[in-house]
Amino acid sequence: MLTCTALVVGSGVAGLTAAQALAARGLSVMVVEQGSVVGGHAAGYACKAGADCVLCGVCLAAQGIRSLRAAPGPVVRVDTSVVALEGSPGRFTARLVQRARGIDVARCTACGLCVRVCPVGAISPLPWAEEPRACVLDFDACLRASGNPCALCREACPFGAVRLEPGTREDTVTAAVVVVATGFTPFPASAKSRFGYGRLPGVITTMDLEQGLRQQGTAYLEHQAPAGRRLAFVHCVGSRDVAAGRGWCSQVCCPTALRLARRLAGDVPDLEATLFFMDLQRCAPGIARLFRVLPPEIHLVRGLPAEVRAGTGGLVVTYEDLATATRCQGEFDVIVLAVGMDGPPSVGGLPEGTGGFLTDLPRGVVAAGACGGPVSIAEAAAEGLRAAGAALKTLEELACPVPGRH
Amino acid sequence: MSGTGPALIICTCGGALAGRLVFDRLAATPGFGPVMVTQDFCMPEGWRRAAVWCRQAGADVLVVAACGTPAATEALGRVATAAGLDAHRATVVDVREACAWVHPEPRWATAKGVRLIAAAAAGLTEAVRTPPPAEIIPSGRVLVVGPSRAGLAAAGRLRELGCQVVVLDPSRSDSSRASPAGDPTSPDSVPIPGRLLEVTGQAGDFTARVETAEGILDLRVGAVIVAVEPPAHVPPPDTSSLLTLLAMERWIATAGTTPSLHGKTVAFLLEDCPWPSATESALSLALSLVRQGGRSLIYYRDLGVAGRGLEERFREARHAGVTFIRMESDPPRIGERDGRWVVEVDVPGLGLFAETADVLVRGDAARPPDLGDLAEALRVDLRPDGRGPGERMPLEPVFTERPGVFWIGPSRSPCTVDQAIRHGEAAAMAALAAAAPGRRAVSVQAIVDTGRCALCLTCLRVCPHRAVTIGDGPAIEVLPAACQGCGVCAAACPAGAIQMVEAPGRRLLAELDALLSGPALDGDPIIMFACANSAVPAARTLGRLRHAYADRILLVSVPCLGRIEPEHCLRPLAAGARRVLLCGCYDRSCQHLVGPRRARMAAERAAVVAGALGLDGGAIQTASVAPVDWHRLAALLDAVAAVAEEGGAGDRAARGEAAGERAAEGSAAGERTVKVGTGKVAA
Amino acid sequence: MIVAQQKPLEEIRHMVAGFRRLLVLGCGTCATVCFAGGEKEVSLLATALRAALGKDVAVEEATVQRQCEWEFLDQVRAGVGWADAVLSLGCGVGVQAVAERYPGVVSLPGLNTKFVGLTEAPGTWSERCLACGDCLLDRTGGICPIARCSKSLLNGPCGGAQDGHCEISPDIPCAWVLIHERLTRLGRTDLLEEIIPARDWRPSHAGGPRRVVRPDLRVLAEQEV
Repeated sequence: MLTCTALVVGSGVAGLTAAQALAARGLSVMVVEQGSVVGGHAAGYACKAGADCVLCGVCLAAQGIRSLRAAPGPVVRVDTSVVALEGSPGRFTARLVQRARGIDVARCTACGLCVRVCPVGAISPLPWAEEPRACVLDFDACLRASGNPCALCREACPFGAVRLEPGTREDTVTAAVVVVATGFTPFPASAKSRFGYGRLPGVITTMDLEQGLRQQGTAYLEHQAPAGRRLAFVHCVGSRDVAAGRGWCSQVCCPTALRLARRLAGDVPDLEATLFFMDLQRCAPGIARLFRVLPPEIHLVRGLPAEVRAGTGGLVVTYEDLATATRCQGEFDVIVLAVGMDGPPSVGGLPEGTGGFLTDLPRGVVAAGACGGPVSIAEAAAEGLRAAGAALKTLEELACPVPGRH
Repeated sequence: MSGTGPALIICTCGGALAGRLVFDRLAATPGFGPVMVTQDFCMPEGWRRAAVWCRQAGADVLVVAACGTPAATEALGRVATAAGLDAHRATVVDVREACAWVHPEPRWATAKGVRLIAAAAAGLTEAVRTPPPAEIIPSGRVLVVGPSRAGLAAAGRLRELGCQVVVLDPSRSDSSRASPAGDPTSPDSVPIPGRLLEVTGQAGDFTARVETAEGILDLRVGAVIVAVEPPAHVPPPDTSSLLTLLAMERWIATAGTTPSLHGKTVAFLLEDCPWPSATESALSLALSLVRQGGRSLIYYRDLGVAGRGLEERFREARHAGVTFIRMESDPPRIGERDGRWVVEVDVPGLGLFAETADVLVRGDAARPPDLGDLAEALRVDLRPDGRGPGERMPLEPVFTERPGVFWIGPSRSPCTVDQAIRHGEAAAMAALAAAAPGRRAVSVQAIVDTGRCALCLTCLRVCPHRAVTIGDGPAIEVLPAACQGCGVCAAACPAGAIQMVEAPGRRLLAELDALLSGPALDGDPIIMFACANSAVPAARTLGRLRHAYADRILLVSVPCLGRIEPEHCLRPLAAGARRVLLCGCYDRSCQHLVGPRRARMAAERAAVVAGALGLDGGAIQTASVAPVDWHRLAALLDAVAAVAEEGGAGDRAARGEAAGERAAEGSAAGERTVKVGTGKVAA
Repeated sequence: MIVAQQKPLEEIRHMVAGFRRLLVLGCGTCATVCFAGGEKEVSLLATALRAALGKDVAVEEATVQRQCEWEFLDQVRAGVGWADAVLSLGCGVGVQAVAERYPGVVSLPGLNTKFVGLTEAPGTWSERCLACGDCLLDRTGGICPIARCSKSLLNGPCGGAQDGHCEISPDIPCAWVLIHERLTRLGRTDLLEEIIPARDWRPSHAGGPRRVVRPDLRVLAEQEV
């Protein structure tokens, strides 16, 4: 049984900010992260700066991860899910399930010797991940999954960090308050089958593009469509769409599509990008200016495409141009679907509202960031601060001893 | 220092670096005393052994050649503590990600490693001892300027967290409109009409000079939250049928009901108003009018629905009968007929579309009050449009460049009610961190040499965080809780009177000199000054990816590019370096706001001097990179190495601008006015 | 403050040609504040000279609190003794003080001394005082027509001012326009009606090199007056 004063579920920008703020107040804080690395979605996104920063906020994730090293910092557990959460303010109990990672984070130096000896490439060093800088073993890909007694990695590791036993470990943690910062789930683009995602090559989502750019740079675009220079961004895929059961605006997709288009237009010669939108959401800091002075390679079309299909010279998009009220067709090489945000994966039976976003949480449980509704990265950081304050408030009400208070 | 010379620990990373580095040659780096080769420096057993060895070796300066992981840095900290070393007398040199993994040829990787190790040792001998931390006794009180929604949300949360709050109402208007949150019996919960004149001091310990009806008083506060609102100017009802959204909102809020609007048609013109805050108020007004039997028309181009619940309310309004008219390019033509407004727009597909309305409500963005005086009192810069600070990544959405001063609400950027409250609560937590009572130790990052200081006040003018003040002493003072350690002041000081604990001037120069000599590299060295917030993490990622780049590129880490002086750029060129690269954040992403610009200024000055000497001023180059964008850094490094290879001067192939060109523009000097590039503050 | 500006590097190079041991000497007071000869400028210039002059010439650097005081100059006796020439980054006073204190050493000016003035904004300095020796600022609203009027006129503008700017240097304001504005604001335009008589320029440099003597401050009885 573990104890802490504040349990933070999720290590995205909101969760890390909240955890850091609470730890800085002298509380004992535990961060539980479901994935293999901390940082959440934003930690996998690309920088979208052109000649100057366009305030996309991706650096905030890197910064939040670096801040974990500041003392006093929170305790972080990766590969761990919260399967049940019960109790009342002052006495919450969370049941944790930790998946075996195969490699002990505390003893791995990411030296790469195991990666080199693995005959099936089951170990990955996650080089772009900031924390923890340790390799991950994919048990499904490992030879031992098929009964082979291979232990080359364990023999190669100079530090005894390899643990070849798969499985899970259960634990319980008690906490006085809980901050839920489980983020969002990207809208499954294949659900809008008329756009051909997963069916037509060259149709990708903004999430794919973000991660592709981060990991491969502009070469990612080449992989999608060699010599492809005609891009279309389709806004509101899974947002403002009652038919798809998503009657909300995801807020970040318009700025994201524009920033991505600008970055690509700046870096890839002869690239042309067309943005298909409904209403441009340009209130985010710095964005109004970007929409005002568009580079000549970026075109705006009001009107969402009706469908995307494969043509002889590329992907054919049929749309109604609302500015002229005419039905048009355009040919593109890559279609980027600006997918919206759905609610977070469910956590230990917490109540969910529209779209799965958390709402009406019990006293003592505070939602931070996108799990309560779509937010940008910078707003998620502010959300983390807000949630930390709300959690502290609960502790004040409970008259829990809070260090640093008279 | 003991006579043995600095101690050196070399970590082989469990033997993983064998074959990639020649450890014997690393161990033979000149100038070192005892040397230890270990294979697990970052493991508990490894650093314990290292600590014991260090104590036995009697070393008081320690260089560890290991990796760039936080684990190595942490282990170094433990060794330093265990061996009784000052934190600034010990350092880690990354020979894994910066040498072994990125330079496939062991000879060159080792040669570079030797140079890095020698430079670290040279730097450490010039390092300053860690000064004792300063103590701040925060006031526990927060000043909120502006009893707006955001301000009251902040005040309410702060009171819940046990802070004392003083709310100042600079509009001096009737404060009954916004009822104060928290305990009304507490004397400090009523907004005091008054004006903020000046804020001196540092986060936790500000003195706010305030002018109230009772006169001028000095308040000791730990943090300041600015949340002013547009002035509460409410036009008298029924005298005008052309209103702004804000005026209409306030009119209805004060009047309660609006009998004069029963059965009337109101047109909301939001065509130049894509803000969610405008949509929010237009929707609620339009809905209430429709429900009272009137008619509402909303003209828009882009409906701002990027706020919680706005899209849902938009649909609700549509179902309730509010008419939405989307227009394209032309603004609506407004005319008058029989005492009513006629609004005519060209709707695509429908043609000209005319409607009559009794009241026109223009949705111009709520104009902030004139913030000039307030910004001056706080020493915070406003944006060109006169709104609050920001449009810079590190400041969004609640911070300002001055630690302990926060800025929220519509005077910063248009925000919905929900957002205003959220930002208020976020600012409250940020303010609490600065103001919460209880002694706090703050590490000192800048030391002023009182003997050298000429009190020229350059530091006071250039400090991006307003951390420099004129004290009572014979020199300027740096406020430790405000100082963020960027070193802009130290770089700008003409007397060399400010030493940054992390990057003292002599240490930087010593490191540079050591880097520029040593075993031969595969070509003349290229010095790259790298900002610790951006270029250093990006370079580490390159290392983790084992992305090869030219070994002649030698990276010098600085806390911010604003730390770079012309001398730092010139010295490598004079010593035979092929190029000097200043690589840091973008202007809008710099944590210290001015770093990239100060670096460009330093590069310009150095280029002018270099040019006069017949050196290639164009070899000094500035560039920006994000910490996560290793692709750009890789491309940049390749381009720089390629240019150096050609030896071509003034080549534009590399990203970033050569400094010489810009310097030529700025060199004209007036007849009786002396202008020197390095001293300029304005862009 | 005395405002100075570094000489062009070309000129400095020409000046120091032939010397084998060079001391670059900074001044920690006025020359530091105007970014012409403080420790950083000394270091930059020394680096530049080392690169320009090659290995055969030794360049050392030092900075004293004020070059215009004997005691401070005495602190660098060893360095000066070593050098063939001292390149002073002080004002003209500093260069001469070095020459006077060290008669056997060549003292060279690294700066052009420009004027007595103030820091208008970081990076910009402008002239305010000509040291004329007979101050009349009480009559001109605190704005000096001698230093700030290109023609040093005493009784109003010359008539060539355009839009408030000087006809000699259009980038500077006409001093008399400034004086008029200031006196208007102070409600003292009556001062303009008084004619300032032709000046006696003897207290200025026109009367030859000047000296100020305060017998009450003498330390040594036998000090020459």
